[in-house]
Amino acid sequence: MHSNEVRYVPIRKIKVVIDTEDYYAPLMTIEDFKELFKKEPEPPRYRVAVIEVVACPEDLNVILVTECSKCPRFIRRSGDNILCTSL
Amino acid sequence: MVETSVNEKIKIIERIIGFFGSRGFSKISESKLNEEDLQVKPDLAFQKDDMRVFVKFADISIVEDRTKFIKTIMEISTLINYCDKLYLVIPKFLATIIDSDILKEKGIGLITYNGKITEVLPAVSRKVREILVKKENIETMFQEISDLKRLVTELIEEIRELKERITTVERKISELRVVTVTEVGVKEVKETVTYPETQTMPELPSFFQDNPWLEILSKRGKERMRNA
Repeated sequence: MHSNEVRYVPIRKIKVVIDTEDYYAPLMTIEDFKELFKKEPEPPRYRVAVIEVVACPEDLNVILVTECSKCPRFIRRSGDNILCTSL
Repeated sequence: MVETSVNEKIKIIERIIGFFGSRGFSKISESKLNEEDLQVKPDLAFQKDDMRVFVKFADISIVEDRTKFIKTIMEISTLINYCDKLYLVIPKFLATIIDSDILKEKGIGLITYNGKITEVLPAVSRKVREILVKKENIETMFQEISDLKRLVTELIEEIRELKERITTVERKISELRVVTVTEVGVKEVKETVTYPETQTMPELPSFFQDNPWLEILSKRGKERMRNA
């Protein structure tokens, strides 16, 4: 198994509102949307997508959680954490 | 995304056989598995002495197809009862989506593949699982005992309060009795002390009015007369 130290990298889940009628509309979080438009992002015009990101402990870049699968250090997902080794 | 191609799947199967072979496990043939009355068949099965290991594959299609996902989950939950150890084999990409904690809770192992095979979560054997279940039961029992203790303490407290209330009520009742008896006594006395009605004579002085002795004294003379 992995003899190196195992790191728990927290996953951040961001709920993003997508405007399907205006593709130039900037992406914003659901909280920002509610604050700005004073309403719920109701379908069919608005869609809410959950984006899971982590800050890679190697280069501190923000990446999608699914991108971790490309990394040789990645072990598995445990709840809302990514387990990876420090080589 | 597309499902794992047949060739790729064969390669993975070969690698998995190699992985368990390096650990001293030998593959159980499909015909032997068919002889057994298994509700669900594993994708691969291995044997080492008394230990039997089942392997179930899942690819990216379980994320895309809800029915397939549920079917896989159901199969896994059934298979775990027919083997000592159960492993789920998934592509590495899927390991970023599937929460391994759920598998860990059930003692299911996890193997990922992406060019190479990696056991990222070791499976827990049935014996250990049973011990864990027993331990869990014991913990539950302890929890229940502590809950009962708390309940008994609360009950004792409530009984104590009730006793106090009963004592207070008893005291009040006895006080009420004393009051009633006293009143009755006074009434009786009042009744016994009532005097016979006498004719009031307005022309007599005030000290003669309602004077009981007047009647008694008036009878004396009459009695003497009768006796004479």
